[in-house]
Amino acid sequence: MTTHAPSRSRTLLIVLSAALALVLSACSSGGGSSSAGDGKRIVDQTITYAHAQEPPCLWGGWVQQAYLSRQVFDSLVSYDDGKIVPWLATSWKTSEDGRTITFTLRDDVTFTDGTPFNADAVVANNANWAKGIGWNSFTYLTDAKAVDDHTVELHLSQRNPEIFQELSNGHYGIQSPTALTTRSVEDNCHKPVGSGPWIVKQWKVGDGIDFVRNDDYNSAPANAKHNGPAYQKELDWKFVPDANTRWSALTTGQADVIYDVPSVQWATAQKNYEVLNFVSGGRPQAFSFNVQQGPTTDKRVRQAFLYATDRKKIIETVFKGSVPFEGNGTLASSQPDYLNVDSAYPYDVEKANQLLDEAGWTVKNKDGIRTKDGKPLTIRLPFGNGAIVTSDGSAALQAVQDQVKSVGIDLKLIPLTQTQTFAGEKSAPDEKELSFGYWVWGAPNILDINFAAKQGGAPNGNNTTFFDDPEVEQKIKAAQVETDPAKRTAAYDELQQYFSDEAIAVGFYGMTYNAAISPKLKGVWQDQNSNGLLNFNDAYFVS
Amino acid sequence: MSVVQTSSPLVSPAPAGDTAGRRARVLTRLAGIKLLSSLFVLWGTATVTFVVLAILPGDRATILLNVRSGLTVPRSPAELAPVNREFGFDDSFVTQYLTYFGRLLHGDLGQSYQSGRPVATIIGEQIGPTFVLAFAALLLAWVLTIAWTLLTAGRGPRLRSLGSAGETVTAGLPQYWVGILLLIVFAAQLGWFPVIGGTSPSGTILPVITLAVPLAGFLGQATRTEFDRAIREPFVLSARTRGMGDLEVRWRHVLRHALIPGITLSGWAIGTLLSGAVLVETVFARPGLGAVLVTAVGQKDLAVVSGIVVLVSALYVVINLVVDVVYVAVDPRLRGSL
Repeated sequence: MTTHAPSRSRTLLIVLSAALALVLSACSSGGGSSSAGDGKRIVDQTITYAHAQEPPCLWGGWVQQAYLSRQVFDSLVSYDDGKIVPWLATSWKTSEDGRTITFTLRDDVTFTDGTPFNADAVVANNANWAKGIGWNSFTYLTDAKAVDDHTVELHLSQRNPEIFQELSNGHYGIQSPTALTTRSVEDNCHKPVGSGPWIVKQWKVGDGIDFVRNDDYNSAPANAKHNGPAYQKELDWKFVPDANTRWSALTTGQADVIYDVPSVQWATAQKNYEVLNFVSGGRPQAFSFNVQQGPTTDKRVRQAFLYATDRKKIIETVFKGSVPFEGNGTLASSQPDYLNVDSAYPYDVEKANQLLDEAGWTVKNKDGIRTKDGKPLTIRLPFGNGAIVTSDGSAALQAVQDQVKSVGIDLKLIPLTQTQTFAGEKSAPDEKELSFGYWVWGAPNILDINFAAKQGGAPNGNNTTFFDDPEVEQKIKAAQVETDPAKRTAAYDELQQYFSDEAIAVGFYGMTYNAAISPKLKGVWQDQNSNGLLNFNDAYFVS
Repeated sequence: MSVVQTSSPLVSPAPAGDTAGRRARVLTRLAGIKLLSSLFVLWGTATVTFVVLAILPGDRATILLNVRSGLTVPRSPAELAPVNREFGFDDSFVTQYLTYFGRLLHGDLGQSYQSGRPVATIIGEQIGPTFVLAFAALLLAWVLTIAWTLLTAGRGPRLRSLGSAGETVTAGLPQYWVGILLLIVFAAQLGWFPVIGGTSPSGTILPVITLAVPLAGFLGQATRTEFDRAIREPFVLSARTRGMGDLEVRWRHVLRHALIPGITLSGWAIGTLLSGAVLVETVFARPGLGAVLVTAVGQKDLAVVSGIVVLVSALYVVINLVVDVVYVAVDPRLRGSL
């Protein structure tokens, strides 16, 4: 689910709940007026949505692809605020060893190419996920078996209580098996076939995608506002990379919904438009200190770095309220079992200096940088400029650079080009002391993804702290197979507290996905599972 | 551009006899040299593209895996091996080059590493809007340049410095800034044009102006220097003594001289307009080759990059041939030397 979403992050949890309240009230009032028969609802129109990024394929491992897949594909299950609810599967059960999940499927769903949805379709899609989603192994899914026409088993390599949340995240949409086997890769990328509310009419590369309504749609998830075809006839999905252009499209009424509001317009957006804002699951934008080699192996240096920075103030100033400060570097605030550690490491320059003195970084050179045995206290931070860290994010990092300088730390920011970022450059333990980035993921096994020393026998590239502690790793692996909710929460609390106390991974700001919606359009909602996907099926215009 | 239309036939009637035969031979030789040098340019760009993408840092197989899955991690040899085998990244440099060039020679642009789509399709989708934008911008830039030059060049000192200051300022305007400004004023505030115009005619106007204004500044600077020089030439005086009006002197005699450097620049300009309009495309959410090229370079997608670069350089070659012909049309003195 990827670190690949150059979205500008913005928001506050408070805003999120306010926005949710707004949606809910909008929906209930809309429903009310409709049943009262005042005929204010306008249907069969075109919704214009301006999105930022155009992926190469409509489905796959990027968050940006899930935004599109969600319009065309249904999934087995849906996530409704902490609860898993039926979608294409009506019920499910987990085997004793947790490694076999048996789904009972709906028998009245047809893909838009006429292929019936059944157990074989799920088997075909399981194989397709393994091939098309680069991080599929983190769900521990192996193979699938059709038990009968409408019963299917998914097999896992290990127990995974979070499998339902992962299957509901948008990447695991179900495509027509006929389309998958009989059409070209290109056709399945650009015009895939699902059973969802919208059908791809045309993908105009560099411009947008025209979706038309699936008139036979009858398989909305249980948490949708209605089951049946979309209220509007067309969905005009535009690719508008520039945030200012998207904002202008909204203010002039040319777009009904825009993705990722520029932070300077955030206050206006909140006042004049309906805003949705979702803090993604997984891991927030966080600092990961190199604990394998260099000066940051000393806990006091790591803690001094944090005490030296007024992280909360920086986030407020840079993001203007569109993005929340986040102190937890391990789990995102939208994640079940999240622990709030925002009060750890308050801004305290004196303490920072004291810790550095204790750590032996006592002599300052002529530039005011602390040294030890003649070596300056330099912390190198390579970061994915644009792709991982937005321009706002990079401004926030520069503020950090300024503040740590005052206690004698030389923070070297090394912006990486897109090519370098995707080539995985500057990721060896001797090339950096600090990493910065996020990881969108729907389940707390993100800890295993980010802190396990090895992955499949090879060094774990997602482990940017180079953390290698078998004892803690054992606790992580035990927590993610724990089925007792109370014990599970306790285990994750302990782990999050550990990474915060040890200052190994510490948060900076929440990774958010937001949208602003014209007051003329009601009923758009954001999936609350890991990446805030937008639902347009329930949307209707009002006069 | 009207200059071209009003000009006399491109080649003056050939003198009779022996001279005609000799001239034909000379012409054939010249055409042959042009053709060879054009082929050399195409080979050169294809080769340089290959070399640059091969030596730029960043492992191609790692990029491929990471972009496909949305991750930014280093990859293990076990993960990389199948990708290297599939795309031949582990073949020797020479083998890779020969495969690449052999394909190009057969007119096969290949497939994008990233999307698996044929490069010809990718370019085909984007070439229309790119052409419209580039040629419309060049045309508008020339209209602006000629009007501005006729109005301000070769005049009194005050008008002259106004004209030249205007050119210096517009030539230095950053495209992104011009684009955003036009967008905010004329699309967002006044509502005269769509914000997300795509390829519609009304949506093309602001992007064309955005590209044309700085370009007109460049062309104007080149034209003005020549115009100021030409207007002091004796033939201007003699035209005036023949009783020719001021505007006609400027239009028929002086401007012709002044156009030559601008025409040379146009050949260069069209090359950058065809592939370098990415900022304008971004601001106006417009499809085009610029954005495709930038993404492909970032991902080291050799097939896409070379497809676009070779296409643009082929056009560049053709356009420069056209420019040579236009020289002759504009400057009759060159007709004998062709």
